[in-house]
Amino acid sequence: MSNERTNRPIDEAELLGWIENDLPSEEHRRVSLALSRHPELRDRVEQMRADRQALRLLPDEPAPPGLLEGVADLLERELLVSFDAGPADDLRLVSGSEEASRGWLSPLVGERAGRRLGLAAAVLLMVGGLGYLGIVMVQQAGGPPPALPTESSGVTGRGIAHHEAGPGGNPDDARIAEASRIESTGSPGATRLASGETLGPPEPTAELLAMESAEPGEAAASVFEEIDADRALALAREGRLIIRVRTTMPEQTLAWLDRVARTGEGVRRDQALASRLASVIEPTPIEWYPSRDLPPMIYANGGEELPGSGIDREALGMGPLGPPRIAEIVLSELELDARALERARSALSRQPGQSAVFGESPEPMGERVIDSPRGVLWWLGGAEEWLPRTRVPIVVETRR
Amino acid sequence: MATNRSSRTPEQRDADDARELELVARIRRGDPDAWAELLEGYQDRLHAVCFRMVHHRELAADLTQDAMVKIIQGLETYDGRSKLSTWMIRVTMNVCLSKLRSEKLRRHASIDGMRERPGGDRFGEPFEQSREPSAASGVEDKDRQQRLAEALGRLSPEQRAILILRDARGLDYEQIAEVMDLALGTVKSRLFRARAALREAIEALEAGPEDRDPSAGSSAEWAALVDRNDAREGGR
Repeated sequence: MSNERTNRPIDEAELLGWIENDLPSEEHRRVSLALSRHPELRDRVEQMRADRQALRLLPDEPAPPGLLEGVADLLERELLVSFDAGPADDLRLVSGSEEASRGWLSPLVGERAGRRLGLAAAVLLMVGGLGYLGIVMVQQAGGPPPALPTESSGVTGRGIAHHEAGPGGNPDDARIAEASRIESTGSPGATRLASGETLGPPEPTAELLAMESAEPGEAAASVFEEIDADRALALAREGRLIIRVRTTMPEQTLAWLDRVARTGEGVRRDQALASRLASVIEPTPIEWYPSRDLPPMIYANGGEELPGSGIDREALGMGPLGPPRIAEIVLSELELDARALERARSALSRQPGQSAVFGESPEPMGERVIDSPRGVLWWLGGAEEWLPRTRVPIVVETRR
Repeated sequence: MATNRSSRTPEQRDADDARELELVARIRRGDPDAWAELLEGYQDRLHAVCFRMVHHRELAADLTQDAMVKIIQGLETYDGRSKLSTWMIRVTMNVCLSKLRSEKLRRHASIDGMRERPGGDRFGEPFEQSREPSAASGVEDKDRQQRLAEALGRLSPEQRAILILRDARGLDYEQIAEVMDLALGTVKSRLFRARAALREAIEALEAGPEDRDPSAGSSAEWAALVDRNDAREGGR
């Protein structure tokens, strides 16, 4: 060891290595030698070594019980209540199947949901009992019985409305029964949806009828573009709102939906609903597209659809585009609020190659209010959760 | 699963790494159970990081939950270049540092918070609960641990972070560099200074409350011994 090396000042890394016993033996000796000339400093460095050992021995505080349940709560709150105004990648969807409708959250929140359902059942029984008592008392007093709701208003029912309609009393029953039959037997539409084929011609819809009776292009645009957020809200209240997502990259769009579905809640697949919608909704007519050669293209930072540029796709080796088809239908869960609906539409538009517009279903398809434990138990949550929510079908369309 | 990684054998670490990769693959295949498995497996480790950073039970739980949400949301961006556990700790540490910076919960704030609740979230309480010292050394150990924890709370969040990563979580320098987004040499330099600051904070506590300013940094004594050549920081 030369004098030059021996006398070289010690740097922090070397001292650290000495403290952590991480130096080659020669270096360790050199640092020890330097420290021996400064006993006070050596004491201090040795104390630092002892501090290190004490830090390593500090026992960990275990995670408190219910931590993961809290994570589920956060996700629900963040992802279920609304599509946020943030980047579209922040959207969170639940996994597709009914069995796993809460995806990975199921094992974490199942018990809690059960407790809440039990509480809700108790409260509902109590309310029902009090109501019955009230009716009996009024009748005993000779007055008329209080009026009972005969039709779901979509505002006060919160999941009870669907159970009020008896068989044969409500025309919706026939459709629901038909949907159940289709689901149980497997409709052609459902089969084709599952296989990704283009759906067949449906029954004429309001949109189609308007298209046929109007001048090409002009009227079509009016049908599809004039649904603003307020009108969308009105449609949502009737259960007739849909969101049409037109994509130039269906694989990416569906992969995106799948990805989001794995990590949250807000959209899920519903094969029965998809079948029902497939039988009544027409893909956006080709005339509506800015160009026969180009589906609507939207840029993430612009938000404006580009008009058709007349690019010769064939010359570019891209091949002709097919007719518009519905690639997928999923069900989103949104706040029943115009701004929330617009945020959702906007968020869906921000994905590359996608544009989203509000559409109108010829008949009620989405649920006007959520028929779910959370919907029933809205009063258990915080004030921010007291907004009613609705389910809106998202129809993914493409020409590829 | 509050295992200090440094206590595991290389074979155990390899097995951990393989299990992590398999979990990620299962999550990406859409296996819903994989998420629960991942988060259940890591909740103690992530919570330990948060608790050491803020020394407050409720806040630590909140931060752990925030971190888990970010992990869930960001797993798509995990590219596999670092270990999954390192990446998760990085996310968690960023959540803690962000919280500490934004709310200015610096050392004195957290200590005052502890003192306001002597029967609750005191620094030393978790140690009393989870450790069973012998009768002879119990009091001394408890005092030392409590002092150490309080001193840790007096450091800057960044100094606290690097000590926690190194000593409490057993990360090596490269992993700390990944978590803190620092050069390797900078990690060593900052780790040493954090150790020095911790020692001064402990001495200040031992000397009596508020007698010394623990934020004064390295004393003049160090200057005589230590060559602070910043040019070397990036090269190590």
